[in-house]
Amino acid sequence: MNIRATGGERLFSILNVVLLILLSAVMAYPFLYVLFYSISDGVAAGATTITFAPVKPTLDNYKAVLGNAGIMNAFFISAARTVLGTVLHVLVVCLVAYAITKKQLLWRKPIIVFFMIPMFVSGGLLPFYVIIVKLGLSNHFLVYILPMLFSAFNMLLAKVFFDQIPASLEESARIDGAGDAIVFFRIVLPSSLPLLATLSIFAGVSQWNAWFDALLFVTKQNLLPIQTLLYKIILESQATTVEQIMRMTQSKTQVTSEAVKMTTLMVSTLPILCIYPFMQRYFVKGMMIGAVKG
Amino acid sequence: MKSIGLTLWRQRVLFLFLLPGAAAVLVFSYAPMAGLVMAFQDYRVSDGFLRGEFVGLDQFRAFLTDPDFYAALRNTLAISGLTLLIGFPAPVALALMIDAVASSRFRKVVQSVTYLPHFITWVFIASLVYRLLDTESGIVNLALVKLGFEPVSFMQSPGYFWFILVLASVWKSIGWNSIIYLAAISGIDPELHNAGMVDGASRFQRMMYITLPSIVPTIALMFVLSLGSLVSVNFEAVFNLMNGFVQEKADVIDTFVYRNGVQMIKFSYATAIGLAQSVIASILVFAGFKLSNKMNGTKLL
Repeated sequence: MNIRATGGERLFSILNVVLLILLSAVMAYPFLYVLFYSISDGVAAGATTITFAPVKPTLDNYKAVLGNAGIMNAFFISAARTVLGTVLHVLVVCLVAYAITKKQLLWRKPIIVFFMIPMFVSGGLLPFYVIIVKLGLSNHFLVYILPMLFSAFNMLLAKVFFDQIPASLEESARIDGAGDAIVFFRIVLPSSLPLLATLSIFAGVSQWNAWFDALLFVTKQNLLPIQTLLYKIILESQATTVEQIMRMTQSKTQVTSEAVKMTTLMVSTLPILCIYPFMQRYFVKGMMIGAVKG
Repeated sequence: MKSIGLTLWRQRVLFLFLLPGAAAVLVFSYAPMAGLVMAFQDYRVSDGFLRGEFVGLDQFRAFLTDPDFYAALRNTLAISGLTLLIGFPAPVALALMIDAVASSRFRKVVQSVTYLPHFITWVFIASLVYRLLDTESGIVNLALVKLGFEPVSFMQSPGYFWFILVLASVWKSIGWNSIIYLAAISGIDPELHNAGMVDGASRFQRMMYITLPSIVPTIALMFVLSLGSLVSVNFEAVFNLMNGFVQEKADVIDTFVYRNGVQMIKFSYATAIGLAQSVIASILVFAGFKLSNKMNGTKLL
């Protein structure tokens, strides 16, 4: 830009950058705070107010939390539902999306409408609750998987992507005698890796973060995912888990219940924070495809 | 008829592909829609769907005379109104500000940091809000005391709840919601900016007179889409942030439905409220579309 940088122009740019830096600080600070608290000596952290640095850094909190069987079990449940739920969701969504990209599909229009209606109309919380209970899914691992098998939004995303795959790719396989199943699994899926990544991220994040379904339908402690356990120990102040941890670490009295909570918070969010840098380019792209069509 | 059978046979694999998805939608989306008949029944857990006693509009009459419902309605409208007021323009402003940054690396950093909270659960955010606003050791009260004020017990005073909730929601969503505006901005013809520069328009002037007007259709569309949320508030946010002290200001329709339906097992009563709520939401969205079509002259639907 070869425009003369007038005083006003410069002032605006500086002000803009300063405001954005402040905003970014406000966005990032809470995460840093939890991190600082989790690596601080619990007693010392409770005595002062943590601001911009950990107090008496230590890994005792992590040792206590990661050594707790209840928390590790919840972590494992979360991982299991995330992996299984994501794989099945992506598969089911792609199968439907592929079938409806076929123009010759019988009753294609009504089928598409059938899949789209739930985007606009829903039965609401109570009828859903009754259905799940009547199906006997309460206190069953499948309650995490089955209701999240399908999403019309993701189906549209996949459909838009499949539409863009050049038809010639499929045709050559069909001439060689391949049927729909072989074309889908051998040709279409392998050439849709960006789509699979985007869908997996959407589905994976919502599986990992899901907590309300377990709160509604699961009472067995050893079936709770980490987010729901977190809800129970922090916001319902359900003391058992924290007490358990405290008792286990009697030798290390420096671990406080507040430090345990902050560390659990950190542990439950760590997987998201770790994959976040890699998933950025996919979710922005996915969001765009969805916005254009959806 | 024969040809349909033949086509079906030829397309059996495609129909097999549709099967798992269709079954899931049928069971987890359509069956609950059918379950809405509960709203017109006196449904008990022991009955099946369609077997409860029909009571017509009794459930609707019941909640329309329930003072707790009106408190929840007031809180819902207040919170969603505030959210619309603050939360709607905020991502537009952020997108304009990000767009005005010259360095693309700085722009990327700001985007990464502001998108992040979208991926964090309300459980995490609510725990943090409680911690940071803690009366004794929270950093906000520490700052207040340093500045010579009395500490405030934010989470125990109903008066602050709406603002805390709205600010936390904006914090969580501002970056993510700005994506759509940034995309709209990137679609603006660069010729417009060149012409503006030739005419000597400053960066700020170009932002106000070229960029902003160019994304008005997107803003209008997003506004219309958010109208439906006027009668509902993010359930997870309220559910995690609320406590006994602030319930009078925190109870919204969705938490009211949850408490009556799931905890007090008044299924029919809660279903009726949910149904009324979603009907009003649909009307609002529809009216919004009509309005925006008139305003823009462009058809959104």
